[in-house]
Amino acid sequence: MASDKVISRKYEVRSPKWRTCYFILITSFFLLFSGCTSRSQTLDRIQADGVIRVGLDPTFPPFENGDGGLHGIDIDLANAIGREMGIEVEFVLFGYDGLYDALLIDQCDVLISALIIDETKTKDFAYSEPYFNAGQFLVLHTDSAAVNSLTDFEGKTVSVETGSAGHVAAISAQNRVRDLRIQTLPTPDDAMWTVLQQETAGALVDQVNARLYIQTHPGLTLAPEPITVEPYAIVVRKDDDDLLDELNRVLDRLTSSGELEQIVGQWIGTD
Amino acid sequence: MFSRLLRGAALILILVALKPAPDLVVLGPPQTPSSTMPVLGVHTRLTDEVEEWKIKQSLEMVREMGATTIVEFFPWAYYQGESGGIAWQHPDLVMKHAHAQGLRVIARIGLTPEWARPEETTLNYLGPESYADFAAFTAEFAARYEDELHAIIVWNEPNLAFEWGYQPTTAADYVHLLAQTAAAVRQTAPDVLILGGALAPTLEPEGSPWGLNDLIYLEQMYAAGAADHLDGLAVHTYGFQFPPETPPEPGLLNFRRYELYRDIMLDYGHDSPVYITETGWNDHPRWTRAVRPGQRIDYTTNAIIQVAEQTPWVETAAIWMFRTPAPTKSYMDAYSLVTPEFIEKPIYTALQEIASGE
Repeated sequence: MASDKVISRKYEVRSPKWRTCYFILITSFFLLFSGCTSRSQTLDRIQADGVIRVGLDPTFPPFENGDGGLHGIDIDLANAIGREMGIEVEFVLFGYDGLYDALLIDQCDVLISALIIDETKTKDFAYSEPYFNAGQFLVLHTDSAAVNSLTDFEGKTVSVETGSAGHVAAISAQNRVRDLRIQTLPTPDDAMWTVLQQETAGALVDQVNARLYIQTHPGLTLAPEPITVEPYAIVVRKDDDDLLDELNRVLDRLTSSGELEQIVGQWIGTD
Repeated sequence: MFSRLLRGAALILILVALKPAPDLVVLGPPQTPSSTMPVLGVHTRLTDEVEEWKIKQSLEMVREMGATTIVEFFPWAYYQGESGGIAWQHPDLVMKHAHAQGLRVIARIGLTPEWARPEETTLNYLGPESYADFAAFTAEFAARYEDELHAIIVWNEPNLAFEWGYQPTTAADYVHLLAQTAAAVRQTAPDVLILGGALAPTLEPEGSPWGLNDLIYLEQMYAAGAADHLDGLAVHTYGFQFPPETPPEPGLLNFRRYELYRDIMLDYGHDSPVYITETGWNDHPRWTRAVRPGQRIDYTTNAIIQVAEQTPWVETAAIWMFRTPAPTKSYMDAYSLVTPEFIEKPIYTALQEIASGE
């Protein structure tokens, strides 16, 4: 009750000019934030039509491959998302260079095409939570329990494919890890073979190549933490907040249930 | 009273400490590239690099790699306002640091300001009504940097619809632009060479909405009198998935395509040097025409050695590209020689080795 009195007293001393100011302030606040919370039409249309149009470039196996019918990790992920949202999935194919433009001019609703989160594009686009890290990982021998990360490589040798992103990451690590030696080989498989033979302490390879090789070469394992991060995410138009929220909810469910890892594992082997 | 004075003095000290640090980027003593492979050049990407120390470090590393020449893009649209005023600050920075490092500069001029083109056209649109404006700007640019500048490239890849603002890609129009620009530059900066062409390697047939086969376009350029206005031909030649020694064929896009260009030049009696202003291989797994990273290194170094040893009429072979200010998160990152953080990629070291005679 006391507070009511305070409030009423405050109102008593305010002039009509103040009321006008408050009105403008409140209206501005409403207008400012109404833009952030309004539903875009994309999710409404997807739900009304019962179809989500997924744009992709079908030339990047094992994520998307158009040879012999459309297949790959992104295809399975899109289908799982469609099932969770209770809608059909329609795939729309573009060249890699045209993907973002296609989304911008509404040729599709989302992009699921192994696209790395790019901060420079966030003026027009928004990204979901990452669903895969295509960065560099250490491949280790299962017997080398003492070696888990690059910091354990002081005085040791890491093998890499010549000129690869793993090679550049190893050069960069030489600034931080004392006496880190680099052995260069023609392919990622050659680099991992040296680990299997215990000629080097580990290989620095991207996650896809690493898991594909480990799948068929018992005795090798992936270090738990990545050395570099290249996060793949789903892309939507900047204004489609509600669609992005929905996709993140679905991705969260797929991650929690283990289905996302199951989809990835089906194509490149288990983690 | 004393404590008030003390507080005042402390405040002044704090304010002095908060003053921005002075510009610590100094040119340093003049340098000269030391290279056993003087044909080696590189296309830098300094247009969007706003920090002076990064411009300096890029050009230092270019020289330390053993390159003698840079190709750099100077967009007309970024510099000249409708009033005619020109913002010289950024090109001044690039030119003074290149000069300090002893690097030859080949400047590519392109992109039309909004005031010099119709509404709803792209930056690449340059209509005949604005050729004189382009020529005047280029002549002023050449005059300002006459001491540092080796050559000017007039426009970029005009045989592509995208690069020609989606107008019909006619070589005759391009030669008109070339003629006006060459005449203007020769008046203000007679020592600066005029290069033209810089065509995109493509097999697009006549009538294609996307562009025109570079060999056909070049032939049409010479038929329209291009030789009178050129001191040399700028060439873009990429290896795609082929090794550098693969022989040239009109129906194949590969590194030695520049030899076919040379044949057309000689057919028209134009025995002038060729400047390869873009070349290279890409090793991004995403790109369908990519090679393995190790192949990229071998092909690129072998290509430079091949040019140096076998084609004396090639003045420069500039690798596309040195570095981008930030990652592009796409296959373009796999063309660079150093990372945005200035970490030398193995291809940089390999080029440095051949340029130092190792």
